[in-house]
Amino acid sequence: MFSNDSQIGDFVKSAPKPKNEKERLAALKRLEILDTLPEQSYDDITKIASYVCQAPIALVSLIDGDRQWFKSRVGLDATETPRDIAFCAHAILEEELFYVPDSSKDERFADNPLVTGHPNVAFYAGAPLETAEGHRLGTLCVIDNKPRVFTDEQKDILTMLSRQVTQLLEYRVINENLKRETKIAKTMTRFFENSQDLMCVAGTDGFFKEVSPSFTEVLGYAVSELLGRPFLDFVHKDDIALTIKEVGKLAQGHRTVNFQNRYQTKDGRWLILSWTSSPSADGSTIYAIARDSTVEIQKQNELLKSYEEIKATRAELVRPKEEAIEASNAKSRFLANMSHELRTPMNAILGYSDLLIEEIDSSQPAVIEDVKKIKSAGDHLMRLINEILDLSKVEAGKMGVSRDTFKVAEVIGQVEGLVRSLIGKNQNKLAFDISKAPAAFNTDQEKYKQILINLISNSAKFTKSGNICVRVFEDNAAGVALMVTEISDSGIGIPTDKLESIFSEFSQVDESTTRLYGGTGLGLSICRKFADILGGKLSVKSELGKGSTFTLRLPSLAAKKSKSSSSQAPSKKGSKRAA
Amino acid sequence: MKRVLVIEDNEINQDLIARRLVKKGYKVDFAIDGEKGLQLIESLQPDIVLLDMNLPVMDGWQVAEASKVNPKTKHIPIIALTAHAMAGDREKTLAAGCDEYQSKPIVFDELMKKIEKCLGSV
Repeated sequence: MFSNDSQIGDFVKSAPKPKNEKERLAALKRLEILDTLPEQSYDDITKIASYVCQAPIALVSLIDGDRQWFKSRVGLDATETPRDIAFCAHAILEEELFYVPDSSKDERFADNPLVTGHPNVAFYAGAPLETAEGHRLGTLCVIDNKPRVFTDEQKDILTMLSRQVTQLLEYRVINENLKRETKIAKTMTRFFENSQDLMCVAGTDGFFKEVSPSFTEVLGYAVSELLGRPFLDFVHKDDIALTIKEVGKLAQGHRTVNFQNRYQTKDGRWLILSWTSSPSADGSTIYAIARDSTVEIQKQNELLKSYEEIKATRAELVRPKEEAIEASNAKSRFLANMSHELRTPMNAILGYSDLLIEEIDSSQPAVIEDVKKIKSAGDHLMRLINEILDLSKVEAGKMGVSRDTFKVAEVIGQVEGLVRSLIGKNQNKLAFDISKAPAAFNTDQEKYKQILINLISNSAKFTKSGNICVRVFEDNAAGVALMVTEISDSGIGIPTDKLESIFSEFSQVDESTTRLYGGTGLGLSICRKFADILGGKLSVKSELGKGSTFTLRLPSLAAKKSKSSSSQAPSKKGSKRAA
Repeated sequence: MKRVLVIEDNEINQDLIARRLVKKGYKVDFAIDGEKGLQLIESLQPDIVLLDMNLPVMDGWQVAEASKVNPKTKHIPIIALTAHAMAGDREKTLAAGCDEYQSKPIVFDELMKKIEKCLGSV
C-alpha cells in the first residue's frame, strides 16, 4: 500500500454500475420507498443483524442514482452518503454476500473517507437485496470500526435476513397493488350498489350470479329470488327464443349492444329492458347492464304510430285525387270508344234518311217531313257524338295538333260557305273583315275552322235579325305574332256572372236557354279547349241585351315547328360526327 | 261508263255509296278487305278507287302505298274515306299516296265533287 494522503480522493475506487442499472433504478422508484419514514419491521431486522453479527452499525441501504439511502439504520446518524464512496455500491455487484474483513488492507477502500474518517469503517459485510426480477436494490449490511472475522453462521444469518428485507420490499409492492385494487373494488361496488341501471353477472348456464340492488328496485324480486331461478323465467315467452340466441352469441365471445327483451316484474307488469353485455374470455360468464327503456320505446312507438297515421292519412288524402284522375281517364277512354261505336249506326240512320228524302215520291210530302225530322234529330245526335269524342280526346290528352300553313282568306271563305245556311235561319247578316289579317298563318287548320264555325253558330243562335261580324287581324303588341279573330254579334248577350261558365261542358246560361235555343252545350267548351291546345286564348266580353264579342288569339305554330326542327339538327350533326 | 271500285267492309256504307253512285251513272264494284281490294285495283283497272282506311287483312294505308308504287295501278286516283277525322289524317292519307280525302260520315255532295274533280284531272 503506497498511499499518498494528499491524493486520497484520486485513489477512491468507485464501484462500476450494474449492467441492468436503468431497470434497477426504475424498480427501486416503483417501490416508492426512498425518503420514507422508518418502519418497525426494517428496524427490527437491522437490530437483529447488529446483535447477531455483534457489529455496532447495521443498515438497510438502497442504492439510488448518486447516493445510498438508509431505510433503516442502527448505530449511524447519517441518512445517506454519496454512492461513489459507498461500500454497498460494490456489494450490489455481487450475487453473494460481499465482505471486507479489514478495509485498511483492501486497496479498494483503504483511502475511502468512510474508512479514513467517520465512521471509520474497518469491517464491512453486505448481503444484496435481490428481487425476484433480479434487481439488486441495495444491501443489508453490518459495519464495525475494527477489523473482524465473520463466522459462516453470521454470513448465513445476514444472508437470510437480507432475504427477509427483500420480502418486506416486495410485500410493499403487493400491498400497494392491493390497496389500489381495494380502492377500485370499493368504487366498483359503490357503482354496482348505487346504479340505477340493472347490473349483473350471469352465467351462460342461464342463472344470474350477481345482481345489483337496482334489480330488486326495478323488478321487485328479492336477490335470492333472482339468483334462484333461471333468468329466462322472467323473460316474456315471445322473447325467449331471441334471448337464447343472444346468450349463445355471448357464449361464443360476441358482445351485445342494445338487445331488447321483456322482463316481468313481480307485480306482473312487463318492462322492456335494453341490454349491453360482454362475455368473459372463456365465454362462461356474462357481464351485463340493462336499462328499463319501456317508456322510451313506448314513446318511440307512439311517434312511429303517429308517423304511420300521418302517412296513412296522407295516402288517404292523395288516393281520391288519384282515383279521380283515373276515373276521369277511364271516362275519357270510354267516351272515345263509345262515340266511335255510336257513329257507325248513326251513319246508317243519316245515310238512309238522306236517301229516303231523295227517293220518296214528292207526292208524299208528309212522309218527307217525317224523314226530315229523323234526319234533323240524327244530325243533332251526330254533332253531339262528335263533340263528345273531341272533348274526350282533349281530356285524355290524345288530341293531336297539326301545323298547317294556310291562306287566311281561303279558310275564311270555306267557313263562310259552311255557316251560310245557319245565318239565314234567324235573318241575321254576316260580315267578314279580313283587311288587316295576315295573308297566311300557321296553326291547326281544321281546329281553327271548327272554332270559327262553333262561335259563328253560337252567335247566330242567340241573335235574331241582327248582325254578326267576323274580324281577323294581326296583333304584335305582345312581341309575338298573334292572329286575332273576333266574332261580334248584336244578340241577347250573356250575364256577367255567367261569362266564364259558358265555357264549361253542358253549360248554357240556364236550362231554359237550351229549350229555347237548342245546341249541345259542348260547342263553346270545345272552342275553349281547342284554343288552349293551339297555345292560344279564347275570351268573351258581353253586354246583356246588346250582344257579345268572342276573341280568339292564336300564336303562329310555325315558329315552334322551326324551333323543334332546329333542336333536332344538332343531334343529327352529333351522330354524324360520332360515325 | 266510269267504273268505281269501293273498298269498304261495312255493308251499310257499301250500299249507301253504291246507290248514290249508280244513280249518278257509275258502275260500282266492291272489295271487302284490303288485300282483295288491291288485287281488284290491278285486275279491274277502275277509273277511281274509294278506299276505306280502316280495313281488315290489309289496311287502307298499306293498300294506297302498294297501289301507288305499282306501275300498273299508280295512275288510278284514290279517295281515302276515314272515320277518324283526326287532325293530320288528311295529310297522312295524302302522304300515303291518296289523291283526295273524305271524312266520314260522308257528305255525298262533297264526295261527288271530289270524284268528279279526280276524274276530270286524269
